[in-house]
Amino acid sequence: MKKSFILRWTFFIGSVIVLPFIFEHILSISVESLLQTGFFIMLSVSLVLLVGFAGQISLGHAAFFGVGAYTAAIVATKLGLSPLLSIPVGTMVGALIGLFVGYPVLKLKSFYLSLATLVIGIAVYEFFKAADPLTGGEIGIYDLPNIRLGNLEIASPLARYYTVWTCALFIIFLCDRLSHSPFGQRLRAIHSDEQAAECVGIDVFKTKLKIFIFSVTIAAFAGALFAHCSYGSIEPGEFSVTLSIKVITMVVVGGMYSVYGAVTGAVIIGLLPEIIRNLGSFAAMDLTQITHIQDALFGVILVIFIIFSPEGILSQRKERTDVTGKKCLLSIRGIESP
Amino acid sequence: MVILDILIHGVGWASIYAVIAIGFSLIFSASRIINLAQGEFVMLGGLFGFTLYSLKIPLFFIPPLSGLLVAIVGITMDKLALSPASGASPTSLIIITIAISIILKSIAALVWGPTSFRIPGFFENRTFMISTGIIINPQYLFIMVICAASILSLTLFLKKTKLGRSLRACSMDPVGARIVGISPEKMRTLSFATGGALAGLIGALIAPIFYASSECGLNLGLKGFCAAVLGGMGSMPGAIAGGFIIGLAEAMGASVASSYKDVIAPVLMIVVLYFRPEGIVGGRS
Repeated sequence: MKKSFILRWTFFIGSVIVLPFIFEHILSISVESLLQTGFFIMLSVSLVLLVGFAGQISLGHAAFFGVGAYTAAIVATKLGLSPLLSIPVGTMVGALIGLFVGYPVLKLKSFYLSLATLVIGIAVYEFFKAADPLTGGEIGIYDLPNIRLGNLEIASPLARYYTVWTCALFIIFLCDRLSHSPFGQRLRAIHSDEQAAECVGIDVFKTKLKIFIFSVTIAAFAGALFAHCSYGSIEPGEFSVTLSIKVITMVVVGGMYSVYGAVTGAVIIGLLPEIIRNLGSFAAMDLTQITHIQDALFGVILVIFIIFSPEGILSQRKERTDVTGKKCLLSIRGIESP
Repeated sequence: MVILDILIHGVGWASIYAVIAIGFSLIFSASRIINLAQGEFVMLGGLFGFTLYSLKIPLFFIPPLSGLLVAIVGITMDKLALSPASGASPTSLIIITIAISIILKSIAALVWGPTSFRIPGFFENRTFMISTGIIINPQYLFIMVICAASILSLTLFLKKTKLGRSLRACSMDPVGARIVGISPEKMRTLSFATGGALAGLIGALIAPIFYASSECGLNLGLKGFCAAVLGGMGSMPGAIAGGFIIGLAEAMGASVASSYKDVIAPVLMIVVLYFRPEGIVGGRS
């Protein structure tokens, strides 16, 4: 366990360091195309805790990403605060909205929850588009300041890449620890059987609310970082339902039941289009056309995975040791004895 | 006088939302699937309508023909994606229908491009004034009539014909329906065909006032879906009531702050969902 943990993290950190050089020199793709994948990782890892572990679906994750981004951007441009302050503000506003939204919504069961989150996602997106004086309407907000640490300004693509991916690594670590903590066990218990979880003394609603707020806060943080550390501008289209569905696709493709599965899914869904786009035959095509083809492919991949492999690539149907050190099977419905 | 204007446009849109909501409800009651691609069906109806129009098909035949074409799309979707996934959790099925809506939207954007298309109305350039300042497009009245007619004929189909009764039996109890020789799978396909036909019809009908484009599906689907949830998923009177509440609330909201028009329906739906998850009319939980 300990050894595999060290090995895994050496691999992670090593590949994060090496990846931009592979992309720039071997595949000759700009480092900027890697930025997006970093944000995808944060989003999918935060969502897998909610969907895979607690069994509570959210189809509106992009909304919280957007809330974080817009809050940070508005605070930075309208009030002139430095990004080092506006990012925490964006994260906190996201968490607060998560509390207000989560409290009523998490009382809903089964598909009503997915519908409510979906509709909230759409409502927030429409709000970004409509609230012109605040959010800049369809155009969005541009000329966002870069992060500045003392005299050091994080401006070059490579610096931004390392900032984003360091944050992503930190969030992976956090979520991984959380999923192995007693709290993570409680989440799995809720996923397996809410009534049974209630019977052994877990406050189901409170636990659900906690994980919802945690997940949403990470999404809002990712959004705030996105505002200051990506392309210097944000527009409502980036936070539409399509993004929520993309994140769901990552979680489904990578594996619903593990943090590393979500990372795998995010890397596949994030990097494949960039690599494909730079292959010769596609380069001649119109950019919007490529986007439409990509979207259609996401849809097809999602349908295929749900039908044929609902557990994802890194399915966890394998032997593991449980808390007592006994061998057990970790499956869709939580922990079963072999 | 503004009130009259709001009322006529409000009722026009209300009947449109009601028909879209009925599509949702019909598919849900027959198959327990919430088909979030319904808005894309409406969008396809409008775009098929435009293609038929450019093929010089008489205006009168365009809505029924688009309905037929979209019904075929609905059947294909059911056969290709939903029947292999039968038995998956409700949430997985919802995600599948969203994935299909994305696929349909992207394909439509590839085929028809980003432009908006308009089909001329049946009573082109014959707008009339009731009094000064109030101009009414007769297409709205026409849409109301057709919506009422299609709701009526659907009710007759469900109540009077053998096929319609089997569909309702299946929505009450799939196992019981199977025992008396009705195939729930066939009924699911039938519900997708009917839902698709309704959506295609309405899509072609609103193209003269709404401009069909590959982007318009999400919004229309959302309103119809909110109407269906508001009234109570799976209930036809509920869908009609929900459509009217949303249509009128939106028309009133638009006269106050038009840019926030599209936020009204989701907010209304969430409020109702919180206090009465089974909807205003729906009694079954």
